[in-house]
Amino acid sequence: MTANPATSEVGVDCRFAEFARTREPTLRDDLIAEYFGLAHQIARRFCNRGEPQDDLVQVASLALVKAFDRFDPNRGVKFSTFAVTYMVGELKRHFRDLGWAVRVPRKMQELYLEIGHHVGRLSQELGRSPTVPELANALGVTGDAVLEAMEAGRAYRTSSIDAPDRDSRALSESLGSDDFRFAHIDDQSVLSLAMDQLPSRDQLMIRLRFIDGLTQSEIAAKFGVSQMQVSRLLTANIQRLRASFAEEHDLAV
Amino acid sequence: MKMIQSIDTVSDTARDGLIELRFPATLDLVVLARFTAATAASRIGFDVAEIEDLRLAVDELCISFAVIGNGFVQMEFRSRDDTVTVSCEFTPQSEMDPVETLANGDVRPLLIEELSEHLLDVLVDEHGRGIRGGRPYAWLLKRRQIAGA
Repeated sequence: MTANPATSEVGVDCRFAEFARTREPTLRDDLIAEYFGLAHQIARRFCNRGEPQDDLVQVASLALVKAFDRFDPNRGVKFSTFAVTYMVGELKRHFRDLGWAVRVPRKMQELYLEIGHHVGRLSQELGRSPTVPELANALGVTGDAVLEAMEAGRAYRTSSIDAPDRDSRALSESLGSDDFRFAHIDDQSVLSLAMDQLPSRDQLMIRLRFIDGLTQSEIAAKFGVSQMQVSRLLTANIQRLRASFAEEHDLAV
Repeated sequence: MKMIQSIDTVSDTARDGLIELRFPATLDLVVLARFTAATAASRIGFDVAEIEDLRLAVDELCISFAVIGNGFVQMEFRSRDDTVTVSCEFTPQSEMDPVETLANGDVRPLLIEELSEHLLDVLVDEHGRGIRGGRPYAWLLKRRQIAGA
């Protein structure tokens, strides 16, 4: 069912031509089935980004079917090339749309992502975190738009520290192993106790900010990510702590 | 996002940087408080990192009142010189509501109170809570960090 498309491309080309001529449903199903392995391969490239692998395979598989239906063998492009491009596009769209827990206008989503990028750049240039007017000026938008986008960023779903950043790199990949010293936490405050309920890697950011007292910018520099991303993760993890506490006490926080 | 539609009353006294905000005590409207605080802080030159901290702090300030529900949250935001102050008071829908009970710690478990206290200690320069005129009341103050200071 999952023949290697690369080795049987010539034969497949003939069968695509045959399908273009006959529109035979069985042949269509057979051809699509031969590329499901490719769909799995492409889906695997997007794993560990906070979305279930099965969902990604489903997105890629549906994209494969769509690609098949839109493929024109007379254009001289191999189906595998066309299908990969199509599947990658659909998966990227999937992450873009589903990465936002609340529906936020696309323009606002894009502005939020741009803000994150510019905060990093301006912080380096200025040696401090930029102000809203500085950001607005750099982005060519109003200060109100920047503030709205910052708020809209809260709707961006931060499933875990393993979620990808702009460069498709998980934040956890930039953490050094020496940072994981939670066995030596001697601060027995409620925060330390609460952090036990978070994954160890998520604890690190909370600890650095709320126990060690590092600023968001310092944490961002330490991890090599944007301050906006640190802010987003802190917010998400505090929400998790609250939710966890509230669950214990039957409160809707 | 249409931030302003759900606000009952908004007034802005430009001279002393006062913004007043009153909204039903529900969690989904805390966004109004965050946005207003961010706007007030931006006016006096807070940088993005400071604004993000302030937004988190306002969340903490509001959440106890939002959890209470069945009433209104009355907030004041003042931005003057290098300081933003935010105060927050819960007004019950009806004077018959048992405000004293709400304020005595029964509503929020001690552990959550302590968590909020700890977070606010780090996020802002000063904060406090108590009872004012028989109603639950909380406040915070955050100063802008002066470069090189």
